[in-house]
Amino acid sequence: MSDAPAETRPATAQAAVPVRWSVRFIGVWLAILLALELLVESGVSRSLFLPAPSAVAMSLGRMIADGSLATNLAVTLSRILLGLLCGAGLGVMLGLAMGTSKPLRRVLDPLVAAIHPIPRLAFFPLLIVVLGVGETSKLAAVSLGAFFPMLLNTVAGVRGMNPVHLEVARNYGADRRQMFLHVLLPGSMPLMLTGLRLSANVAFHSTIGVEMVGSRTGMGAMLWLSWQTFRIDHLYAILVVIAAIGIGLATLIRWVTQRSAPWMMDASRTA
Amino acid sequence: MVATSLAGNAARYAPRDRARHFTCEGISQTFTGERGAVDALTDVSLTVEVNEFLCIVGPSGCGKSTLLRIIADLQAPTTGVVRFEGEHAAHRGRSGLVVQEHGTFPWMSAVDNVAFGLKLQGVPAAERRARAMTYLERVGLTTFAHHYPHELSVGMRQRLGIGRAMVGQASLLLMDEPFGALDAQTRRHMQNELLGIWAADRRTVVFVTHDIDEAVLLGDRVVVMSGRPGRVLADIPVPLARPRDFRRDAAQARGIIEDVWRLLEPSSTVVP
Repeated sequence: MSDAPAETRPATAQAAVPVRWSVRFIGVWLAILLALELLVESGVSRSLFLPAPSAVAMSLGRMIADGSLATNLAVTLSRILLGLLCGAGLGVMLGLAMGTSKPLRRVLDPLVAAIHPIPRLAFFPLLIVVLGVGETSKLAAVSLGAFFPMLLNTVAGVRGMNPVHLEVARNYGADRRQMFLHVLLPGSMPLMLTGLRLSANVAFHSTIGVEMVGSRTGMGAMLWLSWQTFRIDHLYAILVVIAAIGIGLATLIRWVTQRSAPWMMDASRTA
Repeated sequence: MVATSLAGNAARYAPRDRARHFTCEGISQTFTGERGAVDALTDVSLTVEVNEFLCIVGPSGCGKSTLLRIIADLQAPTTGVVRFEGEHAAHRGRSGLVVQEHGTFPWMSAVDNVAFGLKLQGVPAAERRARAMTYLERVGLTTFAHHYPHELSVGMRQRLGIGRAMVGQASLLLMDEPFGALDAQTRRHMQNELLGIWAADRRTVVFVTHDIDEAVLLGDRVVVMSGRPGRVLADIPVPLARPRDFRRDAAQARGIIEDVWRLLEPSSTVVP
């Protein structure tokens, strides 16, 4: 996943294939699950790596019944969302400042250029050293991941503003505040929303990664534990939940995009 | 200022008795880039009267857009001044600017686009809505009030830009090739509409175009500029009666159009 600024034309090819609950979607999956079930039931497949879908479903049911799913899901979701809020929030603020201030850009550009290619998870050990093994270092790792895509896309959004819009606004007598509120902010919104989508993805990935490496709670930790205890049906069940988180997150971001940039959604269709 | 071949012509159409809106006095503009300095404008002087429709023509790159930006106070000339007369001095840099394409804000609906200038001035919401709707009607976009620009055709977007420029009661409209991106038919239609709107709601208009026919058919006066660096080659009055009828006037206008072409011919061979 690259967090480099996308093309100024928003929402083209970078949009992942969205899940549509169509008859076709459900039909294809039902067929696959049914085939798997038959394969395992009939004894054709004795593979350890391929549990029957019914076993996975039962495993999922047990997780729901004993409450372990709810607890860990809540932990993971709160890490993703809190990390996204902190990281993307800081990213958008610094991005707007850098986008509008040349001196700031001159100072910070080299730092950003050097730091942002480092895989986010590589910072996790350092963050543990500095912030301890508690929740803070995890939050910091997730925030750090969410920070860069938002920062880079916000800067690109502000820098990529159509200068004609700025001139027209100036000609109509906009002061600095009005210029920012009514022109710069909405004008850079398409790329900021692209940044948010990328940030949400990175926050999600980082959270699962951090939980696998250094946590006893959360979906990532459950996933890792099921591999260590070699409970394959468990592992599949958790993967299903993680996929659901991803779909839910994408839906949330689409909803936010629709709400904050209604002009953009149609634009991508007609463009 | 008036080219010699046209001196007789200019004398025939004596200056009307109208108040001055603004004057450009000895404006020159030099851009200094990485590959040295480029002279965009050299010693441009012209006077624009109140409620006059002035067209500026010239080959591409002659600095006519630059001149417009200087009049709009978006850019400071290297030398020279733009002097606004009396009451207009207070509105310096608050003109209604209409640009070629993409000038409307894509994130605002049509009515919000038109109301934008009023919003900046702190006009209460209900009033600015009402005034915006009035001007949307004037440019024929009432039914599209809540559409976003990308849902409109290019011609409609251009009309939207004109409505937005006029709603603020700016006494001066500055138009930078507003119809440059339109096909010939839409273009003719838009020219007609602009004249209609202008006739109903007089303002001073400075209209930049590279289309000589357009300049002659729209303007009270056509300022012809040379290729880079832009100088004023001639300042030609257009005595065609108003309201203009493009088909009827085309024949009458031919002479003037030919004059403009003759002025531009030698300079076009000089431009690299």
